[in-house]
Amino acid sequence: MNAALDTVSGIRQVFNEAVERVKSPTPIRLRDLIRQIRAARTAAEERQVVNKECALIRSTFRDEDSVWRCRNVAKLLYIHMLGYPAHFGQLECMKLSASPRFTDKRIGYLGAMMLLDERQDVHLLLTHSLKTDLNSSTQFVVGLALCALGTIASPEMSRDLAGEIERLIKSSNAYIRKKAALCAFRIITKVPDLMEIFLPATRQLLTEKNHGVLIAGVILITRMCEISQDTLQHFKKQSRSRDGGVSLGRSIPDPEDKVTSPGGPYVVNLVPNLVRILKNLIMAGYSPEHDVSGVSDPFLQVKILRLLRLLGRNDDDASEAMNDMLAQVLAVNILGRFLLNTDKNIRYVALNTLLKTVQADIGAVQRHRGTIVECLKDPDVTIQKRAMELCFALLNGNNIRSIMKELIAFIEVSDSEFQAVCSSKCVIAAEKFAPNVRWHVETLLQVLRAAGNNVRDDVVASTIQLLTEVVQQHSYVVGEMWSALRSATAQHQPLLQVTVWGVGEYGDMLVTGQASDSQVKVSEEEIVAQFEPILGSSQMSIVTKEFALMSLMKLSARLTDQSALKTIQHLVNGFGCHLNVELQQRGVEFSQLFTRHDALRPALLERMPPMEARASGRGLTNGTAAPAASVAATPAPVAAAAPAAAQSNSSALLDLLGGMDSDVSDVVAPVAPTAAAPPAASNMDLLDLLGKKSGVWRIKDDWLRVVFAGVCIEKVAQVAIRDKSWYGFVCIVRYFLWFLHPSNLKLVSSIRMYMTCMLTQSHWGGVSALTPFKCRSVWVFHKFLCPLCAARS
Amino acid sequence: MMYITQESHKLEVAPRPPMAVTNAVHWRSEGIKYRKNEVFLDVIESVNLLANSNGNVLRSEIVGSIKMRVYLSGMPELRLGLNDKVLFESTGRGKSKSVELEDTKFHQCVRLSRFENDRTISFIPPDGDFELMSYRLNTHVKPLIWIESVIERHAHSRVEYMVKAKSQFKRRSTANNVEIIIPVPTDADSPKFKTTIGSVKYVPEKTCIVWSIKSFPGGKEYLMRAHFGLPSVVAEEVDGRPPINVRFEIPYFTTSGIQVRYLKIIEKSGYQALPWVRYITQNGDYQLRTQ
Repeated sequence: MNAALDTVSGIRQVFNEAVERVKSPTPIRLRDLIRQIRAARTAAEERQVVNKECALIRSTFRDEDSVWRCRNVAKLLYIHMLGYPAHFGQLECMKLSASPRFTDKRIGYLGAMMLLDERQDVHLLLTHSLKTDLNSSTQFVVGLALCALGTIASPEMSRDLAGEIERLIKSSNAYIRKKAALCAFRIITKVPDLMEIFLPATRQLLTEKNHGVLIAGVILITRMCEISQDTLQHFKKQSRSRDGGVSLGRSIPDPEDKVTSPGGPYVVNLVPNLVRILKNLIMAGYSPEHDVSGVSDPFLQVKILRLLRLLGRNDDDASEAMNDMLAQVLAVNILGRFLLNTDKNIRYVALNTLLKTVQADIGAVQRHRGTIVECLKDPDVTIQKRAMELCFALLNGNNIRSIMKELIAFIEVSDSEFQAVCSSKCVIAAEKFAPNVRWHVETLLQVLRAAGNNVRDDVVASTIQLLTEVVQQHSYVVGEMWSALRSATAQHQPLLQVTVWGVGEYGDMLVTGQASDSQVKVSEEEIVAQFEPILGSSQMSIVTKEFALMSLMKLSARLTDQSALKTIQHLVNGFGCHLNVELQQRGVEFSQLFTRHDALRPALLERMPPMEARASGRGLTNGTAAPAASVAATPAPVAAAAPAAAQSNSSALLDLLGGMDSDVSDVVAPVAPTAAAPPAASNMDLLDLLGKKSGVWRIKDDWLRVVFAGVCIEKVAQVAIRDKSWYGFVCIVRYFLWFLHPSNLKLVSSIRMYMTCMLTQSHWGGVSALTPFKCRSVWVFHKFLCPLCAARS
Repeated sequence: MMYITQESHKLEVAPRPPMAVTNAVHWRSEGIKYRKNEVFLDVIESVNLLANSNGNVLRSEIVGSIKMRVYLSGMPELRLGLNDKVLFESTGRGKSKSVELEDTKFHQCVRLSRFENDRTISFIPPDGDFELMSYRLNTHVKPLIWIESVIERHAHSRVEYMVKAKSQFKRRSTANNVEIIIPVPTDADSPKFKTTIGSVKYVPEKTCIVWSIKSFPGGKEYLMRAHFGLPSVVAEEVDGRPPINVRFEIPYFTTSGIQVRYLKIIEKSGYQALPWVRYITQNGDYQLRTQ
């Protein structure tokens, strides 16, 4: 019973399989498969379609069904490209490539190229059919074999077939020559020893008319030169021997002579040959066959240039030979032409390349300045950005006026992030190349005006620094500031900060009518009235208000009119209850200066000395000034100016502290000999000084120098606390008042902290060690600078 | 234009007092009438199982649910009695056969307070189909259908499968629609099968073979042989060894031994109703690892 059942089900199984086989139709076409796969909505669905089709393909492979093999392999290759395994098709590719039909061969070799590499053993089986096909009389069959060999040749295959390739390079058919040269490229890459076989053939390749063959030949020679130094020398030597007039007579190859060694009888004339080809390419008129958007076969040009680079390296003669030609080719001119192209990708590439070449040959790039500046107006941001960078790279003393005008126009219309970057760069560039001070000031104001609120803090800081430096021009500057201040709005807060600072610092000149040329005299009330809306407006940032408050305070020392002073005092008092802590603190401190310490006010608020301290080595070099020189140049003015500043201000300090002179000697005396500290020290030296042991710091001049040179004030304060130096403390207070502008907000708060710390230390709090005057001064500072500490004293 | 006026308006339908006050059941409307009052109760258990190739069970679990189909008139009150271990122990019948249910989850109609108190499941059922409760049992289950497989892999040429299926439940039960799903290499081709029962099919979409047996009585053993060709070139990435999956359905049988002892139906009108009970065990995530 059971056995009968078994047979029945067995029969049924066999029957089913037979039906399946009969039912199985001709395999679907590749395009139908692609349609099916694309119709799959999910990855899982696609996987199912592919798996099913693969199973069908595998079973037809088993059936030795040679009619559909070609179609099945094609489908399998498509599946392989989608990333599915297709290893089971490798042998089928072998079978196809051995087939006599061209369509089969084509798919077979294509499959071999895609599925095989030299790690697989099957790969070697291909050698035989390759060899047969290389000897075929049909050029396309030979082409297929060459193509496959060029893609997947392994070292063994290369050795076996190198002879065939060498023969084919000399073929009369250009189509085959080209492919054979590329095949040779692969072979010498795999087996460098085989290079010598191909050396004689290279000469012929370079005399080609056909560009395809030519480019393949150039690539082959480049590869040879890269692999072997000897071959490189060989090509070089031949070119030189022609220049020396040696062995010209032997330049015809001897067909019998198969053995070639570097320096052998063949004269290659490589460099002149290449130069001639290049010249023909450039000088020849329009040829529709090789034209790529106006350039004649750029691919060949690039390949030749690359080879020339190899040949010309460390070789004067060869370089000389190509120099003349290269000067004409030099890509800068072509790039300039690219800039006018309508395709923005080409313009972008041109700008990018110009940016790279600008270091090498600034003159050549300068010629395209006009075009580059035009690119600033391009609607594409990436092109704008490159053009902007290029403009800054091209800036120098001669063209700064025209370029800066364009750049400012660019800032006005560009995006906010461009405005920030561009304005900072403009400031740096103006600092370096400004033709005169007036232009410099004007430009900075224009930049501030154009960029509005998108200016970085460094622009404000460096503008203010510039203003302090131009001592002779202050009258002009203040006039400019005044007119700029009146036109500025809340949209130009950085500009407001600068102008407010300028008016505060040099306000007296405005009143006395010293201000610039045609400036009308301004009344004191007018000036103060200009500040009121800034301080009161809710649109103004805290930073701007801080600037304004500080400047107003300074004006109180510059102006004389009582009613104006009253207004100032009133305004300042108003800040005593401001919501912002910093502003409130300043309001309280400053109103103390009006009442209890009115006598101190003029001295504390006197004009700032020029700020020489400047970040050294800032900015870019345009190749006009060597970087080393600029770095070396920077410390000099600082060193020269610092002692001067110290001199002029030390007296002011002493004024501030009244009859303190007599006490000074007490402190200085013990260490007097060290007063001969290095007089001309750079920033770096000053920083070094901070590291020295305490004694040095008792000397007044050192302190002043350090503080005025802009050495890190926190460090100075630390040393002052360590050394319990009275002068250090005084200098810091002075510094504090000068640099109250908010870019140093963090600094200001840390100085406050240090002062509190110093004032609460026992040796100053304890009266016994101090003269009455010192006690009083300490108390004064304590009172109005550190209201929080008042209770403790 | 709309204005807020002082005029009031009456609701069309008088609002009903909230359920908490009336104790009404919102899942069953009143006035349902059937000519023949019947209740169908299905106990369905799915077996999740993972065993390694040596026959050791690594993980086993029973997930059960009781589904009802109710055709009853009026507002009947139902009470279901199971062989619940906790109930039996509390009523002093600890020795009788009982099951310990875990993670029980009830339909909202079941009065949870009564279940908490004395483990009685009493409820007013909604009309028609619903799932009364579900539960889980974390017990050791002996594989109901055990598969032994011998796979001979001859690299570059062929792979052979010898699969033995054995039913390890009582003779009087029968598994229906059994499908044994055996994974094969992704690059296998030209399948050949030989089996004593059922039919085998190669499913390349899922790279597996499916051996389906319509009816598989308990205590039997069947054999299947499969043969595949493999390409002479092997794939670079090695296939994993995915487990064999089995699908089945055994009626009138529960693995856990759960039993419906009674289903009492009480209605005001006092009609007689017929309760029908049915048990089914089926596969859940049922996997057997191969060598």
